[in-house]
Amino acid sequence: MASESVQGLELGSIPTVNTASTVSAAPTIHAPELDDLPLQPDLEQWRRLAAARANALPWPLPTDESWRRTDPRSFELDSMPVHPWLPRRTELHEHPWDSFFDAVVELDGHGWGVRDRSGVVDPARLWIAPLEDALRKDPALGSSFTGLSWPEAPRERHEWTALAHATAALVVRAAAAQKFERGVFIRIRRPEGSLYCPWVLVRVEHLSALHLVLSVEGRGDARYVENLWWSVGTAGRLRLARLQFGEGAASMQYLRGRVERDASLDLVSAQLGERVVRSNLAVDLAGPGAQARLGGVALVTGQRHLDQRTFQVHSAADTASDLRFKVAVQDQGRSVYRGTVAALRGAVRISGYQRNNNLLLSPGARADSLPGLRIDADDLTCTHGATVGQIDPDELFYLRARGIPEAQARRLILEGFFEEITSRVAMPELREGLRRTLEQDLSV
Amino acid sequence: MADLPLDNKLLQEYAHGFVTPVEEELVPPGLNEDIVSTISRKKGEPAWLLEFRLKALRAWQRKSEPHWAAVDYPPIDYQSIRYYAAPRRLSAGEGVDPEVLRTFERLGIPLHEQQRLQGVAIDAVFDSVSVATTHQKILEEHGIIFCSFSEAVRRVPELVRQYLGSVVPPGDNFFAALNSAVFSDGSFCYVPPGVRCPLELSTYFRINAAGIGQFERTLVIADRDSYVSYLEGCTAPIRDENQLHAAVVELVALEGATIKYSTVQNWYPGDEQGRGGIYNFVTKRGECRGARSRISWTQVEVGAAITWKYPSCVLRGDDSVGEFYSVAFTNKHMQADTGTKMIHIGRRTRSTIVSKGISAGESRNTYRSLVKFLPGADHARNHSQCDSLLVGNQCTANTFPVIESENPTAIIEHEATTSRISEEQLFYLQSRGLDPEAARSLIVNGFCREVFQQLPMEFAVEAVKLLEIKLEGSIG
Repeated sequence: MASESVQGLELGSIPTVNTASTVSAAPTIHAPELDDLPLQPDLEQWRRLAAARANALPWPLPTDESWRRTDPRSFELDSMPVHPWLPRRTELHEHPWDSFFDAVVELDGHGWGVRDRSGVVDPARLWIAPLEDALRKDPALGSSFTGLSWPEAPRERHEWTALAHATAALVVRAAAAQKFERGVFIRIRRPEGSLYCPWVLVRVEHLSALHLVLSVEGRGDARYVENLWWSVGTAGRLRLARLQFGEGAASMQYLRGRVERDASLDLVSAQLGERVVRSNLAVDLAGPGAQARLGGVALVTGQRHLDQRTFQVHSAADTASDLRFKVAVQDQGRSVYRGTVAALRGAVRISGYQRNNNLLLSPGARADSLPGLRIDADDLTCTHGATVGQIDPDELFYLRARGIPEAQARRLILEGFFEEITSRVAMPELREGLRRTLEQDLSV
Repeated sequence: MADLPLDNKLLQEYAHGFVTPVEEELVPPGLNEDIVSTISRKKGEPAWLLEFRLKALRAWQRKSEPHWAAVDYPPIDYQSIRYYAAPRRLSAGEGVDPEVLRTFERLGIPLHEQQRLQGVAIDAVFDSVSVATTHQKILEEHGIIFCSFSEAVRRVPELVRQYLGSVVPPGDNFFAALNSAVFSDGSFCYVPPGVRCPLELSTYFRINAAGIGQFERTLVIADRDSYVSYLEGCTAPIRDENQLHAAVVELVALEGATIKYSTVQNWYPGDEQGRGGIYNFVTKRGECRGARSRISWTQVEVGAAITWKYPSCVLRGDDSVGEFYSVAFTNKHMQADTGTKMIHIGRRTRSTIVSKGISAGESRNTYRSLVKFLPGADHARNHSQCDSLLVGNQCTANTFPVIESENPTAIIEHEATTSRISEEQLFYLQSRGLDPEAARSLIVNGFCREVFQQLPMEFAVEAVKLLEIKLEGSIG
């Protein structure tokens, strides 16, 4: 099996995360050429280079501007052993949602496997394969995933470390001009007590449409660092839902992708779990006519901490992006949102939209919002908005005046708050599941 | 460094760019304890003030220059700047040099008794010293103290000592520390309880000498239930060197008091190639110390090569109100990183932010703000609206707001848009016979209207005219 070749790859242990003052606090000069590392068929070699990239970068300090609101010490990757490379398995767990998909991919502590439910998993249609196999058979695939970093959203040390120490690297590719009735479900059941770094690369070739749902669950403490990359070819369509469940882990997500000419991305991200989360989402509108619709819902409860960063890059003219992230915080939860809409030089006639709404549901809750616009082009319209507040007392009064008890009224209002995003999840069963989870966690 | 010839086109665009030939007394370049002591001695200051300066100097020496703002400039050699310059006759006690008076007349600010502007009391600051303060008598009748900072130190030392550094501490930031160490002159204003100041108070800052920096200090105190409206204007000669202006403005509003602070900043912005111009690194902060107090900042920023300025409100008193209205115009190679901070501490505190950025030429215009609700700020509210208008295709417009809420009952709303002047609006106006320049000017005026409305009448007229001149030839 191809995965044998990287099994037991010695990348050296992860150096100690240094948050003390021994690392110079001086701003590091960002070198964009260091960010890119085109994928090559020799994945082992590539991962060694990624490890070198990681080692060339400092670990972040709590004083770094981008880490001021989230303690980098929560993400010390060396505090747990690296999870060994996953072998391929044929046995898969059943999940109630499986029947809604054409293909199911499962990753857990013991291995990974694919179940082809509709007979579509085939290199000529829907190709699901280990990255090293895919690159060997189609070296051109690597170029789809280069150039996925930008000066404002550079690759971080954690990210390179996770790529170098990836637990598994899987490619999902929809061949050109393919349509699938249902789509692909990737279920990740992260194990406890290790550094677990899945790496998923999604390629939608021209004129294809793919629907992909990725869910992550798990119990107990762990270090989880996910790399999810996508690339949507000319006039392709990707619908992507990423659902984060789980309890107790420190989770980092690096979602990076490109949308090419006349292609579209519709992404829904739900952050509903784990102890401390730092999620990064960067989308490049790289060809004229490209569109991205990005939705986010999050519920932060207990002592949890959620730090979400988004980056909408308009590198081509006539592109549109629309981002709406909704966050409700209760108990002593804390939410941080930082977003950037960037219009690079020449990106004219674009429309960039970004909105972050926060609801604080308890006295100890806290939300920070940092929306941002960086405009280097002229003929365009970019808008952002941010709100922080509580449930509107007028709305509550209206519902109560109609005989609805307060708790139920609050639930209804919150449901409405999230509805704008949850309604975009394509499958009714998933949509319901998401709504139920949101409702369960609310202690109104 | 040489002054540029004044008969060029530049002077038409920047009419305030002349130099006054006046003999000035200068301290040697450099910054150390000796210089600070010399400045303090020249001004005949008490020991506590010298101590304040030296403490600030030591704080400054420990700090490093901040570089987080989205502006680029070559390193500043703080040891090559002269920190004090005054017309010789004035400092020798021989009265005001007629040349200096003529300068202010040329700038439209007559200081002679008979020609004084009605309804506005002016403190005129020339390089490092205050030249004259008008209408003192009327103000005194109301018990209002409005004079140069040096005079205030002599007349009301206890008031100065009580409030100086209470809003912007000497070690607040790099430039505030620098100012606290070497500040020369500026204005001081105290409005007693229950008094509504009958005149607009105004300070006009003029940089004249080459190679100097201007470091003025302004302190405005509005006692219980008083009201004061304060205006500030600034200009400098055309030179191909960069000059540093690092001011500190402190406002204190006690219970029920209102301070309205308006600025029309028109420092020399540099030429087409980006040579010369003032570096305007200013710390402005007001504290609504008492309940129901109100501080309102209005700024029209049309000059300076680099602007680094965040007029802020600390809303400590319950029910206090903070406002920030800003127009920031950048053209050519100008860079502006400006915005505000609203810190909500008291209950039911409210703040409003209206910011309008206009970018033309190859300029860079950044809006940066902080709205923070502390846990005690029950039912506090903020509304922010910041819009950017793009006039050229080589310019950059950034918006970086920060919102922090630690109180679930507080409500924050922030909106921002960036867009180009609408072709449809231009077409509409042109089809009604307006030429493109006039049409553009009209649209820009409309864009800024919300802010201009906040300015006192004379200033609003001035601001509209200024923007018109600045927009000329910037059609992209």
